[in-house]
Amino acid sequence: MQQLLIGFTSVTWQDAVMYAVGLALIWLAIKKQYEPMLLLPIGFGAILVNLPLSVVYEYEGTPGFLKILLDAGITTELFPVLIFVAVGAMCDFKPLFKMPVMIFFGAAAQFGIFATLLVSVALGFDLKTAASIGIIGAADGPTAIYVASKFARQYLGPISVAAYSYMSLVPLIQPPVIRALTTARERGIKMEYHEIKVPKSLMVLFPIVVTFAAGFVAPISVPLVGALMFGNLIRECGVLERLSKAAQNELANIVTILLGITIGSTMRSQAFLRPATILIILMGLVAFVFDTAGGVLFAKLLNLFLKRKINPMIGACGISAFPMSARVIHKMAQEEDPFTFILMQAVGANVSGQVGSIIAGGMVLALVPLLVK
Amino acid sequence: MFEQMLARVQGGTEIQKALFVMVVGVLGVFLVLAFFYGMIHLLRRVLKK
Repeated sequence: MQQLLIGFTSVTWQDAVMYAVGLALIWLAIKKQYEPMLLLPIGFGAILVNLPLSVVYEYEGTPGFLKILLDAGITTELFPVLIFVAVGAMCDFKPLFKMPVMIFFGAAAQFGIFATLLVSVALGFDLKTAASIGIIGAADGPTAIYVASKFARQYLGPISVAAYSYMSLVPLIQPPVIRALTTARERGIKMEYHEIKVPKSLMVLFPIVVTFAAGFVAPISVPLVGALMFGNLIRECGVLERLSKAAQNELANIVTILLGITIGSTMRSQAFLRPATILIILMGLVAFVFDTAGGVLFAKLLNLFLKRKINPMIGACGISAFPMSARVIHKMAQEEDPFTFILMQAVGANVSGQVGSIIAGGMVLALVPLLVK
Repeated sequence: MFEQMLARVQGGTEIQKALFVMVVGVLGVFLVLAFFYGMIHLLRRVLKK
C-alpha cells in the first residue's frame, strides 16, 4: 500500500513551493507573455524535476531524460553555443555599420555587469558566483547561461530565470531609471540621421575579422563570439539562405525548447529554495539598473564635450535586449517631443549592446580564472 | 606592470579581486569595441574604393 501511495507520501513542502514557482513562470509566459519561449519550458521543467521521486532527473541511479539533457547540453556548454549560432543568424549589424560610434554605448552599458559583480562580492558571494550574477546584467540570456554553467552551475536556475525575466521587463525597468537621470529637455534632444549605404563585403568581412580578433585577444571567449559570428556569416554570405533560415528557425526553436526545460531541471527544491536565490534575483535587477545608468551617464559625459548633443537615452540602449530597449527609448523620446526621432540611433546602440555583452562575458571568463585558483 | 598588479591582486581580498575585474573588464570591453569601431571605419573606407 505504501508503495502505491509513494507519490503522495514523498511530497515535501519544498516541492509544493517549487510547483508554485513553476506555475508562476508558466502564468507569466502565457498571461503576461514575458519571454514565453523560455519561461514556459523552464517553469514546466521546474515542476517535472520536483515531482515525487524525480524520475525525470535520476531514479535509483539511472539518469532520467532531463539529467541526460543537462549533461549533454549544459555541462558541455553545447546548448548555449548552438543558441549563439541561431542568434548570430538573426543579428543584423547594419544599423551599427551605419553609425559605428554607437558601439561605445554598447560598451558603457556593460558597466552594470561589473558593478553588480562588485556588489555581489561585498554581499558575500565568491568571485565566480558574483561574476555569474553580474552577467545577468548583460541582458543576454545565452551569455548568462554560458557563464553560469562555467562558474556557478548550482545557481544556473535562478540566474537564467532572472536574466530572462528582467529582459522581458525592460519596458518597466529602464524608464524610471532614465527619468531619474535625465531632464525632460535632454530626453527631447533631436539627433541627425544620414542614411549610408553599407557595402555587402563589409557585412561578410565583419564576422570573420571579429572572430580572429576574439581569438587573439580573449581566446576563452571564442566559443561565444565564434558561434555568434558563424551564424552571422551564414546570414550575410548570401549563398546559404537555406542554412540561414534553418539556424534562425529550426535550430533556434529546437535548442530553445531543450535549453528551457533543461534549465528548469536545475531548479530542484533543495538547490533552489535558499536565501541566495532571492539575493540573486534581486541582484539581477540591480545589474539592469546599473547597466541603464551606466549608458545614460556615459552619454551625458560625452555631451559635455560634443557640439551636437546626443540624446542621453541612447546610452540606455547599449544593453543586449534587442529591439525592446530601442523601442522603449524611442517611445520615451516621442512622449517628450513628437518630433524627436531617435529610433535608428537607438537600434544602432542596441545592436552594439549585443556585441558588447558577449565581449563583457568573454572578459569575465578570461579575468576571473586568473584570480581564483 | 600588469603582471605585478595581477600578482598583488591574487594575494588580495575578494573585494580587491572584484575591483580588479571591474576596472580591467570595463576597460577591456571599451578597448575591444574601440578596435571594432576602428575596424568598421577602416573596412568602410577600404571597401568604398
